[in-house]
Amino acid sequence: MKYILYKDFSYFIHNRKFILFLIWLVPLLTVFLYLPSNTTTLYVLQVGLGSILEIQFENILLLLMYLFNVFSFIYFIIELFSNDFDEYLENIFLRIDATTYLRKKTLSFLILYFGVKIIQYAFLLTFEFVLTSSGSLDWNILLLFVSDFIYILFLQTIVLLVYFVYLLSKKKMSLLVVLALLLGVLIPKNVWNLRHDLIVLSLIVLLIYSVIYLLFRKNVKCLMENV
Amino acid sequence: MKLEIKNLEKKFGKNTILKDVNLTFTDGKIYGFVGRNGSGKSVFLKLICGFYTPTSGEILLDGVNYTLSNAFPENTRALIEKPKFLPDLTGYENLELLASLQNKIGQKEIEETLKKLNLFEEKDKKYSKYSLGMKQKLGIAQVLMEDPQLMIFDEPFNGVENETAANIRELLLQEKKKKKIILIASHIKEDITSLADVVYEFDGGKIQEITKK
Repeated sequence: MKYILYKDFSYFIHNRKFILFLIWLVPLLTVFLYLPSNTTTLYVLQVGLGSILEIQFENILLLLMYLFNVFSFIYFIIELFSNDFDEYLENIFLRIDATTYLRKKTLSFLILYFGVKIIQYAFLLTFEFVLTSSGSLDWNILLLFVSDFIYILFLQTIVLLVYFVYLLSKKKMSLLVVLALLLGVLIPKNVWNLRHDLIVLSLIVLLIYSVIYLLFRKNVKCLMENV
Repeated sequence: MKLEIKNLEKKFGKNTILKDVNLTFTDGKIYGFVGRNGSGKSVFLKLICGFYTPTSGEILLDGVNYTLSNAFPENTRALIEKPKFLPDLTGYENLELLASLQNKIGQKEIEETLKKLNLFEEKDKKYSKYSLGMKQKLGIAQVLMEDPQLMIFDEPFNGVENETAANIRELLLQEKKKKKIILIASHIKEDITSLADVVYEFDGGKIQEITKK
Protein backbone atom coordinates (compact mmCIF):
# COMPACT_ATOMS: atom_id res chain seq x y z
CA MET A 1 0.00 0.00 0.00
CA LYS A 2 2.72 2.41 1.08
CA TYR A 3 4.63 1.97 -2.18
CA ILE A 4 1.63 2.50 -4.46
CA LEU A 5 0.41 5.53 -2.53
CA TYR A 6 3.84 7.14 -2.45
CA LYS A 7 4.38 6.46 -6.14
CA ASP A 8 1.03 7.94 -7.15
CA PHE A 9 1.56 10.95 -4.92
CA SER A 10 5.04 11.49 -6.36
CA TYR A 11 3.66 11.20 -9.89
CA PHE A 12 1.08 13.91 -9.22
CA ILE A 13 3.56 16.25 -7.61
CA HIS A 14 6.19 15.88 -10.32
CA ASN A 15 4.18 15.46 -13.49
CA ARG A 16 0.78 16.96 -12.94
CA LYS A 17 1.29 19.86 -10.59
CA PHE A 18 -0.06 22.29 -13.18
CA ILE A 19 -3.41 20.47 -13.37
CA LEU A 20 -3.47 20.22 -9.56
CA PHE A 21 -3.00 23.98 -9.28
CA LEU A 22 -5.78 24.49 -11.81
CA ILE A 23 -8.09 22.20 -9.83
CA TRP A 24 -7.43 24.21 -6.70
CA LEU A 25 -7.17 27.71 -8.11
CA VAL A 26 -9.57 27.94 -11.06
CA PRO A 27 -12.67 27.59 -8.81
CA LEU A 28 -11.43 30.63 -6.87
CA LEU A 29 -11.28 32.64 -10.05
CA THR A 30 -14.76 31.51 -11.00
CA VAL A 31 -16.09 32.55 -7.62
CA PHE A 32 -14.32 35.89 -7.87
CA LEU A 33 -15.85 36.63 -11.26
CA TYR A 34 -19.27 35.21 -10.59
CA LEU A 35 -19.92 35.87 -6.95
CA PRO A 36 -23.20 37.70 -6.53
CA SER A 37 -23.81 39.75 -3.43
CA ASN A 38 -25.83 38.47 -0.46
CA THR A 39 -24.88 34.90 -1.11
CA THR A 40 -24.39 31.86 1.12
CA THR A 41 -21.28 29.77 1.64
CA LEU A 42 -23.02 26.82 0.03
CA TYR A 43 -23.74 28.89 -3.07
CA VAL A 44 -20.11 30.00 -3.30
CA LEU A 45 -18.98 26.37 -3.30
CA GLN A 46 -21.61 25.43 -5.86
CA VAL A 47 -20.51 28.22 -8.18
CA GLY A 48 -16.84 27.41 -7.74
CA LEU A 49 -17.33 23.78 -8.62
CA GLY A 50 -20.03 24.32 -11.19
CA SER A 51 -22.12 21.85 -9.22
CA ILE A 52 -25.48 23.57 -9.64
CA LEU A 53 -25.23 23.41 -13.35
CA GLU A 54 -28.40 23.38 -15.34
CA ILE A 55 -27.39 23.38 -18.95
CA GLN A 56 -27.80 27.02 -19.80
CA PHE A 57 -25.22 28.21 -22.24
CA GLU A 58 -25.43 31.78 -21.08
CA ASN A 59 -23.69 30.46 -17.94
CA ILE A 60 -20.68 29.41 -19.94
CA LEU A 61 -18.34 29.91 -16.99
CA LEU A 62 -20.38 27.54 -14.85
CA LEU A 63 -20.43 25.01 -17.64
CA LEU A 64 -16.67 25.20 -18.17
CA MET A 65 -16.00 24.97 -14.45
CA TYR A 66 -18.23 21.97 -14.16
CA LEU A 67 -16.63 20.15 -17.10
CA PHE A 68 -13.14 20.97 -15.85
CA ASN A 69 -13.99 19.68 -12.38
CA VAL A 70 -15.36 16.42 -13.77
CA PHE A 71 -12.84 15.70 -16.52
CA SER A 72 -9.70 16.50 -14.55
CA PHE A 73 -10.59 13.84 -11.99
CA ILE A 74 -11.58 11.34 -14.67
CA TYR A 75 -8.25 11.95 -16.39
CA PHE A 76 -6.36 11.28 -13.16
CA ILE A 77 -7.77 7.81 -12.60
CA ILE A 78 -6.95 6.69 -16.14
CA GLU A 79 -3.49 8.16 -16.00
CA LEU A 80 -2.60 6.57 -12.67
CA PHE A 81 -3.44 3.10 -13.96
CA SER A 82 -1.81 3.49 -17.37
CA ASN A 83 1.33 4.89 -15.77
CA ASP A 84 1.77 1.71 -13.70
CA PHE A 85 1.32 -0.44 -16.79
CA ASP A 86 3.72 1.71 -18.78
CA GLU A 87 6.48 2.17 -16.24
CA TYR A 88 6.26 0.04 -13.14
CA LEU A 89 5.40 -3.48 -14.28
CA GLU A 90 8.43 -5.27 -12.86
CA ASN A 91 8.49 -3.26 -9.65
CA ILE A 92 4.89 -4.12 -8.83
CA PHE A 93 3.71 -7.29 -10.51
CA LEU A 94 6.71 -9.47 -9.72
CA ARG A 95 6.07 -8.65 -6.05
CA ILE A 96 2.29 -8.69 -5.67
CA ASP A 97 -0.53 -10.38 -7.56
CA ALA A 98 -3.01 -8.58 -9.76
CA THR A 99 -5.93 -8.50 -7.31
CA THR A 100 -3.79 -7.29 -4.41
CA TYR A 101 -2.53 -4.57 -6.73
CA LEU A 102 -6.04 -3.50 -7.71
CA ARG A 103 -7.14 -3.30 -4.06
CA LYS A 104 -4.09 -1.26 -3.05
CA LYS A 105 -4.36 0.94 -6.13
CA THR A 106 -8.03 1.66 -5.50
CA LEU A 107 -7.35 2.60 -1.90
CA SER A 108 -4.40 4.76 -2.92
CA PHE A 109 -6.50 6.52 -5.54
CA LEU A 110 -9.34 7.14 -3.10
CA ILE A 111 -6.95 8.65 -0.55
CA LEU A 112 -5.40 10.96 -3.16
CA TYR A 113 -8.73 11.90 -4.69
CA PHE A 114 -10.14 12.65 -1.23
CA GLY A 115 -7.08 14.75 -0.40
CA VAL A 116 -7.27 16.78 -3.60
CA LYS A 117 -11.01 17.39 -3.09
CA ILE A 118 -10.59 18.40 0.55
CA ILE A 119 -7.93 20.92 -0.44
CA GLN A 120 -10.17 22.20 -3.24
CA TYR A 121 -13.01 22.82 -0.77
CA ALA A 122 -10.66 24.28 1.84
CA PHE A 123 -9.32 26.79 -0.68
CA LEU A 124 -12.84 27.77 -1.74
CA LEU A 125 -14.06 28.21 1.83
CA THR A 126 -11.01 30.21 2.84
CA PHE A 127 -11.34 32.36 -0.26
CA GLU A 128 -14.95 33.05 0.52
CA PHE A 129 -14.12 34.06 4.09
CA VAL A 130 -11.42 36.39 2.81
CA LEU A 131 -13.62 37.84 0.11
CA THR A 132 -16.80 38.37 2.06
CA SER A 133 -15.55 38.41 5.65
CA SER A 134 -18.49 36.17 6.42
CA GLY A 135 -19.59 32.67 5.62
CA SER A 136 -20.73 29.76 7.66
CA LEU A 137 -20.04 26.06 7.89
CA ASP A 138 -23.11 23.88 7.96
CA TRP A 139 -24.21 20.36 7.10
CA ASN A 140 -25.15 21.36 3.56
CA ILE A 141 -21.50 21.96 2.76
CA LEU A 142 -20.65 18.46 3.91
CA LEU A 143 -23.57 17.16 1.88
CA LEU A 144 -22.34 18.99 -1.22
CA PHE A 145 -18.86 17.56 -0.66
CA VAL A 146 -20.19 14.00 -0.36
CA SER A 147 -22.47 14.41 -3.40
CA ASP A 148 -19.65 15.89 -5.47
CA PHE A 149 -17.19 13.19 -4.31
CA ILE A 150 -19.50 10.26 -5.00
CA TYR A 151 -20.82 11.61 -8.31
CA ILE A 152 -17.30 12.08 -9.71
CA LEU A 153 -16.31 8.68 -8.31
CA PHE A 154 -19.29 7.23 -10.17
CA LEU A 155 -18.09 8.80 -13.42
CA GLN A 156 -14.51 7.67 -12.75
CA THR A 157 -15.55 4.03 -12.27
CA ILE A 158 -17.63 4.12 -15.47
CA VAL A 159 -14.76 5.60 -17.48
CA LEU A 160 -12.25 3.16 -15.95
CA LEU A 161 -14.50 0.25 -16.87
CA VAL A 162 -14.90 1.53 -20.43
CA TYR A 163 -11.14 2.13 -20.62
CA PHE A 164 -10.42 -1.49 -19.67
CA VAL A 165 -13.02 -2.77 -22.13
CA TYR A 166 -11.51 -0.46 -24.74
CA LEU A 167 -8.06 -1.97 -24.18
CA LEU A 168 -9.44 -5.48 -24.49
CA SER A 169 -11.74 -4.81 -27.39
CA LYS A 170 -11.08 -4.82 -31.10
CA LYS A 171 -13.92 -2.43 -31.88
CA LYS A 172 -12.26 0.55 -30.28
CA MET A 173 -13.99 3.29 -32.25
CA SER A 174 -17.49 2.07 -31.45
CA LEU A 175 -16.58 1.95 -27.74
CA LEU A 176 -15.44 5.54 -27.84
CA VAL A 177 -18.78 6.51 -29.34
CA VAL A 178 -20.60 4.58 -26.59
CA LEU A 179 -18.50 6.33 -23.94
CA ALA A 180 -19.16 9.75 -25.46
CA LEU A 181 -22.91 9.07 -25.52
CA LEU A 182 -22.82 7.69 -21.97
CA LEU A 183 -20.99 10.72 -20.64
CA GLY A 184 -23.27 12.97 -22.66
CA VAL A 185 -26.20 11.52 -20.73
CA LEU A 186 -24.53 11.21 -17.33
CA ILE A 187 -22.52 14.40 -17.10
CA PRO A 188 -25.13 17.15 -17.36
CA LYS A 189 -26.26 16.87 -13.77
CA ASN A 190 -27.03 19.30 -11.06
CA VAL A 191 -24.74 17.68 -8.48
CA TRP A 192 -26.51 19.35 -5.63
CA ASN A 193 -29.75 17.61 -6.58
CA LEU A 194 -28.00 14.23 -6.32
CA ARG A 195 -27.84 14.55 -2.53
CA HIS A 196 -31.09 12.63 -2.29
CA ASP A 197 -29.72 9.64 -4.21
CA LEU A 198 -26.35 9.12 -2.58
CA ILE A 199 -27.03 5.60 -1.35
CA VAL A 200 -28.21 4.43 -4.77
CA LEU A 201 -25.23 6.13 -6.43
CA SER A 202 -22.83 4.49 -3.96
CA LEU A 203 -24.33 1.07 -4.65
CA ILE A 204 -23.94 1.62 -8.39
CA VAL A 205 -20.28 2.58 -7.83
CA LEU A 206 -19.75 -0.65 -5.87
CA LEU A 207 -21.43 -2.67 -8.61
CA ILE A 208 -19.30 -1.13 -11.36
CA TYR A 209 -16.17 -1.63 -9.24
CA SER A 210 -17.04 -5.33 -8.84
CA VAL A 211 -17.21 -5.66 -12.63
CA ILE A 212 -13.85 -3.85 -12.94
CA TYR A 213 -12.38 -6.22 -10.33
CA LEU A 214 -13.53 -9.33 -12.22
CA LEU A 215 -12.41 -7.94 -15.56
CA PHE A 216 -9.01 -6.99 -14.17
CA ARG A 217 -8.46 -10.34 -12.47
CA LYS A 218 -9.19 -12.28 -15.65
CA ASN A 219 -7.45 -10.03 -18.17
CA VAL A 220 -4.59 -8.28 -16.41
CA LYS A 221 -1.97 -9.46 -18.92
CA CYS A 222 -4.01 -8.36 -21.94
CA LEU A 223 -4.48 -4.98 -20.29
CA MET A 224 -0.72 -4.65 -19.72
CA GLU A 225 -0.02 -5.56 -23.29
CA ASN A 226 -2.50 -3.14 -24.81
CA VAL A 227 -1.83 0.00 -22.76
CA MET B 1 14.97 -24.26 -10.68
CA LYS B 2 14.30 -24.78 -14.38
CA LEU B 3 12.76 -22.43 -16.90
CA GLU B 4 11.52 -23.96 -20.14
CA ILE B 5 10.30 -22.18 -23.24
CA LYS B 6 8.38 -24.44 -25.63
CA ASN B 7 7.32 -23.52 -29.17
CA LEU B 8 6.93 -19.90 -28.15
CA GLU B 9 5.45 -17.51 -30.65
CA LYS B 10 4.54 -13.86 -30.16
CA LYS B 11 2.72 -11.67 -32.62
CA PHE B 12 1.45 -8.11 -32.33
CA GLY B 13 -1.29 -7.91 -34.89
CA LYS B 14 0.17 -9.41 -38.07
CA ASN B 15 3.71 -8.63 -36.98
CA THR B 16 5.59 -11.70 -35.76
CA ILE B 17 8.12 -10.76 -33.09
CA LEU B 18 9.18 -14.23 -31.98
CA LYS B 19 8.59 -17.60 -33.57
CA ASP B 20 9.31 -21.19 -32.71
CA VAL B 21 11.44 -20.46 -29.66
CA ASN B 22 12.53 -23.53 -27.71
CA LEU B 23 14.97 -22.96 -24.86
CA THR B 24 15.75 -24.41 -21.45
CA PHE B 25 17.45 -22.47 -18.69
CA THR B 26 18.87 -24.22 -15.66
CA ASP B 27 20.18 -22.77 -12.40
CA GLY B 28 23.77 -21.78 -11.82
CA LYS B 29 24.15 -20.22 -15.27
CA ILE B 30 24.09 -16.85 -16.92
CA TYR B 31 22.30 -16.67 -20.25
CA GLY B 32 22.99 -13.78 -22.56
CA PHE B 33 20.78 -12.40 -25.34
CA VAL B 34 22.10 -10.13 -28.01
CA GLY B 35 20.50 -8.49 -30.99
CA ARG B 36 19.96 -5.09 -32.46
CA ASN B 37 17.41 -2.71 -30.93
CA GLY B 38 13.88 -3.81 -31.78
CA SER B 39 14.87 -7.43 -32.41
CA GLY B 40 12.49 -8.73 -29.75
CA LYS B 41 14.76 -9.03 -26.70
CA SER B 42 12.57 -6.90 -24.43
CA VAL B 43 9.40 -8.63 -25.63
CA PHE B 44 11.01 -11.99 -24.88
CA LEU B 45 11.96 -10.91 -21.36
CA LYS B 46 8.49 -9.44 -20.76
CA LEU B 47 6.99 -12.75 -21.85
CA ILE B 48 9.13 -14.53 -19.27
CA CYS B 49 8.06 -12.01 -16.63
CA GLY B 50 4.45 -12.79 -17.54
CA PHE B 51 3.68 -9.23 -18.65
CA TYR B 52 2.77 -10.43 -22.13
CA THR B 53 0.80 -13.51 -23.11
CA PRO B 54 2.33 -15.79 -25.76
CA THR B 55 0.38 -16.05 -29.01
CA SER B 56 1.18 -19.76 -28.80
CA GLY B 57 3.55 -21.99 -26.87
CA GLU B 58 4.40 -22.34 -23.22
CA ILE B 59 6.70 -20.92 -20.59
CA LEU B 60 7.18 -23.27 -17.65
CA LEU B 61 8.85 -22.48 -14.37
CA ASP B 62 9.61 -25.73 -12.55
CA GLY B 63 6.99 -27.38 -14.73
CA VAL B 64 4.26 -24.83 -14.08
CA ASN B 65 2.93 -22.92 -17.08
CA TYR B 66 2.17 -19.55 -15.49
CA THR B 67 1.37 -17.87 -18.80
CA LEU B 68 -2.03 -19.58 -18.95
CA SER B 69 -3.23 -17.98 -15.75
CA ASN B 70 -2.94 -14.40 -14.62
CA ALA B 71 -0.10 -15.31 -12.29
CA PHE B 72 3.43 -13.97 -12.58
CA PRO B 73 6.56 -16.10 -12.06
CA GLU B 74 7.42 -16.60 -8.41
CA ASN B 75 10.76 -15.70 -6.91
CA THR B 76 11.64 -13.57 -9.92
CA ARG B 77 12.88 -10.00 -10.19
CA ALA B 78 13.65 -7.95 -13.26
CA LEU B 79 15.15 -4.73 -14.48
CA ILE B 80 13.67 -4.01 -17.87
CA GLU B 81 14.84 -1.08 -19.99
CA LYS B 82 15.48 1.53 -17.28
CA PRO B 83 15.19 1.66 -13.49
CA LYS B 84 12.04 3.30 -12.13
CA PHE B 85 12.33 4.98 -8.75
CA LEU B 86 10.81 7.93 -6.97
CA PRO B 87 12.95 11.04 -7.44
CA ASP B 88 12.28 12.66 -4.06
CA LEU B 89 13.30 9.67 -2.00
CA THR B 90 16.82 8.53 -1.23
CA GLY B 91 18.25 5.37 -2.73
CA TYR B 92 17.69 3.54 0.55
CA GLU B 93 14.13 4.81 0.98
CA ASN B 94 13.28 3.71 -2.55
CA LEU B 95 14.48 0.18 -1.89
CA GLU B 96 12.76 0.10 1.51
CA LEU B 97 9.48 1.19 -0.06
CA LEU B 98 9.73 -1.43 -2.80
CA ALA B 99 10.57 -4.11 -0.24
CA SER B 100 7.45 -3.12 1.73
CA LEU B 101 5.32 -4.62 -1.05
CA GLN B 102 6.27 -8.10 0.15
CA ASN B 103 7.79 -7.47 3.58
CA LYS B 104 10.28 -10.29 3.05
CA ILE B 105 13.39 -8.33 3.91
CA GLY B 106 14.39 -5.48 6.19
CA GLN B 107 17.07 -2.89 6.75
CA LYS B 108 19.90 -5.43 7.05
CA GLU B 109 19.33 -7.03 3.64
CA ILE B 110 18.81 -3.67 1.90
CA GLU B 111 22.02 -2.25 3.35
CA GLU B 112 23.99 -5.37 2.45
CA THR B 113 22.79 -5.12 -1.14
CA LEU B 114 23.73 -1.45 -1.30
CA LYS B 115 27.20 -2.32 0.02
CA LYS B 116 27.63 -5.00 -2.63
CA LEU B 117 26.93 -2.41 -5.33
CA ASN B 118 29.17 0.22 -3.72
CA LEU B 119 26.12 2.41 -3.17
CA PHE B 120 26.06 2.37 0.62
CA GLU B 121 27.87 5.71 0.92
CA GLU B 122 25.24 7.25 -1.34
CA LYS B 123 22.22 5.63 0.28
CA ASP B 124 20.96 8.86 1.85
CA LYS B 125 21.27 10.87 -1.34
CA LYS B 126 18.07 11.64 -3.25
CA TYR B 127 17.53 9.47 -6.32
CA SER B 128 17.16 12.58 -8.47
CA LYS B 129 20.76 13.50 -7.57
CA TYR B 130 22.11 10.10 -8.62
CA SER B 131 24.28 9.80 -11.74
CA LEU B 132 23.13 7.54 -14.59
CA GLY B 133 25.48 4.80 -13.40
CA MET B 134 24.23 5.04 -9.81
CA LYS B 135 20.62 4.86 -11.01
CA GLN B 136 21.43 1.74 -12.95
CA LYS B 137 23.15 0.20 -9.91
CA LEU B 138 20.11 0.96 -7.75
CA GLY B 139 17.97 -0.77 -10.39
CA ILE B 140 20.21 -3.81 -10.08
CA ALA B 141 19.99 -3.56 -6.27
CA GLN B 142 16.19 -3.84 -6.39
CA VAL B 143 16.60 -7.05 -8.38
CA LEU B 144 19.17 -8.57 -6.01
CA MET B 145 17.90 -7.45 -2.59
CA GLU B 146 15.14 -10.03 -2.11
CA ASP B 147 17.41 -12.89 -3.19
CA PRO B 148 15.29 -14.15 -6.12
CA GLN B 149 16.03 -17.41 -7.95
CA LEU B 150 15.39 -15.98 -11.41
CA MET B 151 16.93 -12.61 -12.32
CA ILE B 152 16.21 -10.79 -15.53
CA PHE B 153 18.21 -7.81 -16.78
CA ASP B 154 17.52 -5.84 -19.92
CA GLU B 155 20.46 -3.61 -20.90
CA PRO B 156 21.96 -3.54 -17.37
CA PHE B 157 25.15 -1.83 -18.58
CA ASN B 158 23.36 1.12 -20.13
CA GLY B 159 25.07 4.38 -19.20
CA VAL B 160 27.50 2.82 -16.73
CA GLU B 161 31.23 3.44 -16.73
CA ASN B 162 33.71 0.62 -17.31
CA GLU B 163 34.56 0.31 -13.62
CA THR B 164 30.89 0.09 -12.63
CA ALA B 165 30.22 -2.41 -15.40
CA ALA B 166 33.06 -4.57 -14.09
CA ASN B 167 31.58 -4.34 -10.57
CA ILE B 168 28.16 -5.42 -11.87
CA ARG B 169 29.70 -8.32 -13.82
CA GLU B 170 31.54 -9.50 -10.71
CA LEU B 171 28.32 -9.35 -8.69
CA LEU B 172 26.38 -11.34 -11.25
CA LEU B 173 29.09 -14.01 -11.29
CA GLN B 174 28.77 -14.24 -7.49
CA GLU B 175 24.99 -14.61 -7.80
CA LYS B 176 25.46 -17.33 -10.39
CA LYS B 177 27.44 -19.34 -7.83
CA LYS B 178 24.35 -19.25 -5.58
CA LYS B 179 22.51 -21.39 -8.14
CA LYS B 180 20.46 -18.63 -9.69
CA ILE B 181 19.21 -18.38 -13.25
CA ILE B 182 20.37 -15.06 -14.68
CA LEU B 183 19.10 -13.76 -18.02
CA ILE B 184 20.77 -10.68 -19.51
CA ALA B 185 19.95 -8.90 -22.75
CA SER B 186 22.03 -6.26 -24.46
CA HIS B 187 22.41 -4.77 -27.90
CA ILE B 188 26.18 -4.71 -27.33
CA LYS B 189 27.58 -8.20 -27.84
CA GLU B 190 30.80 -7.52 -25.91
CA ASP B 191 28.78 -6.73 -22.74
CA ILE B 192 27.41 -10.23 -22.77
CA THR B 193 29.99 -12.59 -24.24
CA SER B 194 32.51 -12.23 -21.42
CA LEU B 195 29.85 -12.90 -18.79
CA ALA B 196 27.33 -15.42 -20.09
CA ASP B 197 27.68 -19.18 -20.18
CA VAL B 198 25.46 -19.37 -23.23
CA VAL B 199 24.78 -16.52 -25.65
CA TYR B 200 21.76 -16.35 -27.93
CA GLU B 201 21.20 -14.00 -30.82
CA PHE B 202 17.84 -12.55 -31.85
CA ASP B 203 17.34 -12.27 -35.56
CA GLY B 204 14.14 -12.11 -37.59
CA GLY B 205 12.01 -13.50 -34.75
CA LYS B 206 14.28 -16.49 -34.23
CA ILE B 207 16.68 -17.03 -31.33
CA GLN B 208 19.89 -18.87 -32.12
CA GLU B 209 22.64 -20.06 -29.81
CA ILE B 210 25.91 -18.47 -30.87
CA THR B 211 28.38 -19.34 -28.12
CA LYS B 212 28.62 -21.71 -25.24
CA LYS B 213 31.34 -21.91 -22.59
